[in-house]
Amino acid sequence: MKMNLFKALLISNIREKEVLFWIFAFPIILLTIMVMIFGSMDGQDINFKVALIDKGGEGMGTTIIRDVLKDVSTSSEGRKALFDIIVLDDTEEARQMLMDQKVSIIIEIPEDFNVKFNQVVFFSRITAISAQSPTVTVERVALRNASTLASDIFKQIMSSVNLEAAKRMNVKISGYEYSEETVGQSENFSYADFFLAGVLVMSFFSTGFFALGNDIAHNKHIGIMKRLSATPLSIRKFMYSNILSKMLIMVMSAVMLVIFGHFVFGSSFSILNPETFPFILLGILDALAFGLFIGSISKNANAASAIGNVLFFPMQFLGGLYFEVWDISPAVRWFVYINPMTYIAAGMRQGMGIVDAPVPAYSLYLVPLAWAAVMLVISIFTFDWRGDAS
Amino acid sequence: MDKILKVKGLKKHYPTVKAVDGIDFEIEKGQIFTLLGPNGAGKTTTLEIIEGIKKADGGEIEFFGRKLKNVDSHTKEKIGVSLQSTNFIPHLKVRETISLFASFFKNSLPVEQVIKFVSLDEKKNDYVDKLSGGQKQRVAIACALINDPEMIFLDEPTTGLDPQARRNIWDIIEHLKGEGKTVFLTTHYMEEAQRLSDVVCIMDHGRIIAMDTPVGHINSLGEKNYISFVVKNAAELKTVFEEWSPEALEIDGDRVEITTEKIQEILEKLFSWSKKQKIIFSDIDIRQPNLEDVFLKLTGRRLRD
Repeated sequence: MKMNLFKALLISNIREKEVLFWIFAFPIILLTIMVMIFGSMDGQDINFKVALIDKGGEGMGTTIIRDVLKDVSTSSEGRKALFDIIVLDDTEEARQMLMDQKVSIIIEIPEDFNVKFNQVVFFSRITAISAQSPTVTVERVALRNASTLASDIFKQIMSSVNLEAAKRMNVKISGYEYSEETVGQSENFSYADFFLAGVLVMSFFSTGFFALGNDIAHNKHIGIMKRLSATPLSIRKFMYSNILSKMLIMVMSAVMLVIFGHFVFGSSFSILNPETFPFILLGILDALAFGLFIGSISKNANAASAIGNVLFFPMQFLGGLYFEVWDISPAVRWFVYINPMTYIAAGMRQGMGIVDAPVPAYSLYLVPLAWAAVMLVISIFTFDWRGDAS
Repeated sequence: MDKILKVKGLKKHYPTVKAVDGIDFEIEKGQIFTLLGPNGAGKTTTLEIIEGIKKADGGEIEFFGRKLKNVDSHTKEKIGVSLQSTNFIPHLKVRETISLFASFFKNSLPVEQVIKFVSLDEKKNDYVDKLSGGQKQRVAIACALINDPEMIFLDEPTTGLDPQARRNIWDIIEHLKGEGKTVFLTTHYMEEAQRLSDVVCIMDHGRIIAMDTPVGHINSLGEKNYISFVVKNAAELKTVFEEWSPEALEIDGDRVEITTEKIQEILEKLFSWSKKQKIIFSDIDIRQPNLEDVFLKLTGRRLRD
């Protein structure tokens, strides 16, 4: 590696306006937008208005469910209550409020709730007979995020009801079981931290795909590598210097992002946890490997840019950088599971103590490493520094 | 004289074309050696093989007394190269670019000295991307000179430049010759080859078709001169001109070109006939033969065709 060349390539990159924007400014803008949109949904601030139509009368079953609902609608330790419950009698009025977005969901406890609850308790002791479970009806509006989210949260609350019933009656009521697996989420979950990890991965890959990939393709195409090959400098040294300059740009961009996130949005420094470090390295490694691949197979910068965009956008949005994707529609889930970004972002967040990755720990390392190996092998076999001139 | 470069049977064949088809030549120390030929003649391929950019399919290269299979970094320390396309790492200033090239070599000249030599003093803090074509070409030559090379390769250094920029480059090349440097030049401009070269090697379809000094090439045409003029209805007057027995007659629209060894006789006939017929000639040009005529004679085509 030649220090002068490394320095020249670094200066050249930093003077490039597009690099300045996409690698330094854009991640900060994106983090700002994401945290501003979703930041208010931090655990302590989530609050939904819920219409409750309670026809259940008095009994053990309704007492349990009312106690749990009371818990989630009571604010404590300066935190807003999760649900603001509006008790109504009229179903039609509740539906109108739902349509007018005045409430997010309607919860209806039916008249026969206690009867069915008692039957379940009674018959649960006679194993041969199973009674029909009591049901609570939830009405929500499709495709409205707040409604979907409130409904999902209520499902979780019903798990608590089940647990409470089990405690008080020493029975397990199957009707309250929910099959969805929930991802472990820390008490101190912060969207700023969540997005910081995602935007950091985006920034690494953006540098790899567009700065390194385009650079290699451009240098080949316009004959810079050809010119350098007529000097005693080896192309290998040129490539090392180029890769190292891009690595430094990634680190500079990451440092800026972490500092900005901390001072503006109060994100933690958990990104610097030792558990996160391997995933930062894997992110840089994969980004560089993909950059080499794009630069090697592209004839010029335009082709590199096109290939980069085709790969980058689906990888970014189906890589869980900005929202969880593990349970996404099966039609595209395969892409999530082969996408190295998914594992790098998940590994970082796990290392930061934000969200546990719902996949085996070894896969968090193995999938990105496998991609890096494949990309590097393809690059070695397809790279020709002479470009069009060959 | 010391032979600085010997090339024997050099070949480079692509699936559809024989870019270089077994060429031999030698260059002496301090010479300006020019490969002259039309686009696609194989000049750049020849140059790039000798510079170590491309690998030959056959033949021998002896550089500075050493036979080489591939041009190694030891040889690259002694040569300076300016390619046909003058592209550099973007967003670097002139001084930064030349300094960068200096760092590639074990020994280099002071950057300021080279900048001054190519007359880029005033532009040294400008970005290379913002320079004119001629100024960029001077940066390319500065990068080729930074290691104080014994031999300099300049591949079509004036292509696409305006006449003033071209003359500036010619001055630099003549200056290099004055300093005793060996220059290997390729060009498709015959006046450039004629003015600068000690030896002109004419290349076409990957082969060397003639090699001599510019004067030697021109003398090979004999004592010929060229008279050209414009006259109305030139084609109708063809038989009149043919009666004067020129060696060659070429009519292109209203322009007539007569090739002859008897220049005085033809001119006398031309003027007395025009006076008698009251026909006015214009744009009369009398010139001696040049390398373009040599190429035309050798290939039947003009260099620019």
